Amino acid sequence: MEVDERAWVDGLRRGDASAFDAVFAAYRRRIFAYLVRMTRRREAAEDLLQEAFLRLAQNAKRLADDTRLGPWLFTVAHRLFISWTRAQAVRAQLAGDLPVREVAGTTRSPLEALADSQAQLALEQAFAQLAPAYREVALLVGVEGLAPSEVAEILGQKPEAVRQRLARARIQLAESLGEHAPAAWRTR
Amino acid sequence: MTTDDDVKRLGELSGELPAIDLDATTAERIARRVRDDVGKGPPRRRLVEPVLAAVVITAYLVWAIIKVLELLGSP
Repeated sequence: MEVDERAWVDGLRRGDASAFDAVFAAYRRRIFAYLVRMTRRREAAEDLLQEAFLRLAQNAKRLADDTRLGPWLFTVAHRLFISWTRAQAVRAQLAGDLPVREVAGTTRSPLEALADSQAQLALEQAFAQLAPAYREVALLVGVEGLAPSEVAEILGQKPEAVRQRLARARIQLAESLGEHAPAAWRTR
Repeated sequence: MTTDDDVKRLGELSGELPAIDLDATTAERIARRVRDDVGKGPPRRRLVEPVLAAVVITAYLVWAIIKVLELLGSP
């Protein structure tokens, strides 16, 4: 663990607001990007981001010396996303609709509007078209650079299940990307 | 293809995704909201709710058991 991180954990446990500011600055983009790509809704991602950091603040005193804040925050963000998904489904049922199914990729979302090029747009859409369970693994490993074993802990899954999801995510991304996929990707 | 290959290729591809960030105003709003809670522990409401739920459920179970005993005891 980096020295900074240990100092941050120490500061958080003491209720030091500047330690929180440092952690927020270090992790807010990563957690927010993950939540935006999972929820596909910017406002929802903002709410969940706030809740994730609130939980960190409220649980600060219980953090262990060796707590790794990245995996800790991604674990909370993952659980918040699951709860949000369930709430969305219940809301849709109460409204008399079918449970919410992702329609990502059928319309251009604000997320896709960020894309500078056709290739970036295709990539964003390819990620959006992945089933959430595959997308989550692809984002945590591909974008966040977490090891599959760490992702397994975050998701509460067996490492083998994560490895399988990873392989399927890569294959589905290659299929979705079509001509935009790097040549090496087409090899199974 | 091995897991290491999957990790490597996903990493390469993900590097091409556009950057996403909060706007400065929203980031400051969230930071301000959370900063005051650092180290204060969970809100009392979070502790009170489970206790209330346990009391209600226990009272209901006791009431149900009494009713069953009354039915069994009645001629």
